[in-house]
Amino acid sequence: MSATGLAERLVVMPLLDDSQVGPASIDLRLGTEFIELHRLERKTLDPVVRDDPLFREEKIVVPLGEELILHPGQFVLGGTLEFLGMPLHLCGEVLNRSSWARMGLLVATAVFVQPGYSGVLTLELVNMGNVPMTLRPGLRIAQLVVMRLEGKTELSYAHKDAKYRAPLSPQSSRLGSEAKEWDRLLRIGAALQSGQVEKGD
Amino acid sequence: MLRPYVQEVVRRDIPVGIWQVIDNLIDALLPQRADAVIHFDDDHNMYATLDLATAVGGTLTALGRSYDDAVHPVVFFLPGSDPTNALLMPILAHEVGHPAVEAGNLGSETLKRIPDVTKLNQLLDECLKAASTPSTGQWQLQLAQWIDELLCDALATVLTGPSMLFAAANFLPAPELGSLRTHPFPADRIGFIVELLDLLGWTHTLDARLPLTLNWCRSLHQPEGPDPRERFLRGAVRLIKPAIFEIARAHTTYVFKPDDFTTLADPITELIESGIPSGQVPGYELTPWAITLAAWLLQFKLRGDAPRTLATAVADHEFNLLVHKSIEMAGIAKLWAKTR
Repeated sequence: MSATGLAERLVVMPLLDDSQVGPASIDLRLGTEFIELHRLERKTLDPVVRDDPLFREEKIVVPLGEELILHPGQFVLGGTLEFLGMPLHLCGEVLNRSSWARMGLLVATAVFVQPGYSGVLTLELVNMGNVPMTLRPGLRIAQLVVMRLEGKTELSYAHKDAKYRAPLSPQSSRLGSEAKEWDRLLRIGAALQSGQVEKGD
Repeated sequence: MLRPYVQEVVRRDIPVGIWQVIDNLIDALLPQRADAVIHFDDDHNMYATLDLATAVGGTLTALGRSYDDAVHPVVFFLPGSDPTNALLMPILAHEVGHPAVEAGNLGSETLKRIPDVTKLNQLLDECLKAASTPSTGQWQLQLAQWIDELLCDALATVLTGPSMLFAAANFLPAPELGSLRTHPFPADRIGFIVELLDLLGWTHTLDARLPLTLNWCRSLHQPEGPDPRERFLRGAVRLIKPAIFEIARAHTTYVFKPDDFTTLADPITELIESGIPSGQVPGYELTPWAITLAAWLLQFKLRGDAPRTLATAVADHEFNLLVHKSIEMAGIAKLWAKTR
């Protein structure tokens, strides 16, 4: 196996059990690292306000064999146990496993895995049920459906502007990297309010 | 005294890779086991261990009590500025050696196995006569401290292989002429580790991959000072070395040998070089030290066979995170396979 060979292959590391690979999907397991967003006495979370000192996240580690309790309505970012390497001729979609969905766990609202992506996948976990739920690293938490592209993409996710290159743990929102567009929207709002421009212009 | 560590008992911010390394060190060096507490040392920025049961033992005795549990709470200090540096973890192996040396009375065991006690006593006599303020007790106490430190270097080298040489060459301070302290001179310690690696069969691997850096390590030299005390200590260490090597090899549950690494080196390196954590190689169980050594050798391959690589590799934060992730995944894969 050469480094070039690895780039051409779908990488799932580690694959703890061959039974994770199904006819059309691969079961992914819950990883050991999480990001909890703390409840704050704030009216709103505005992503345009960057570096808000009152916006607090806490990174926590739950080793294999231990548990994380997700309370009703609680939102936490988790990651897959597996590091994925998606070659340029494939893409993927992360889906909820129905077993978890029927218990009220919503997994992975941001589902698409781009060609060329490599890293741990961030999973958005929400307990939509009425009782606290015990999550354990190592559990099969989601499934990855892999699709073949018609030909290789020329613009890989490894392209320089990609926000989440080879992450090894769950990643927080990086809406801040769209700062130029947010600034533009703020300027538009300010210009409209001051009358510098009319809406119909 | 215990307050700084109480909160750390339930801390949830330690990467799993670090726990895997610490569990590995406890398994290998502390047969009586230990309850690990991890402390990020912002005060001294050092690697260290502290057996809390021993530390409070005097107070307990004064109160007419004793710590009866065979499993001691042990604080593992990691430097606060860079606690998760994977390439420097062999230094932590040295520190875990200290409770191992104490619990096993390895210092005394070493002294019992000195090849030529007569020569040692002759050396002591000669140096005491040449000293302006001879003090047999102090000299012997300092020799015992030096033996303990070299035992810890030897235990770490037996367990982690050449990674201990690279970590020590990076981490040990520059020598100060004429200053005799609780530790042997860094150049002597590096030479000691090189010699032990040769006994363990690693020279061929190192000569093939990084001859320049290896020769630089061999060339490190602390000039002999005029102090008779120094002459005694360094001469005594030369006489006692074979016993230290023998004791170290007998007191780990695992000796990392080149044969354990040869077939794994390329697959691990290939994965890490591709940016993929090396959590699995089909048919093999990956140890933290095989992964760490492969990572070090990859750094020499990418950055060049030169002593400066020892510094630039350690400073590569993202690379070190990848190595820790590899150790975590390998540990999880091993646990999973064992509970099948």
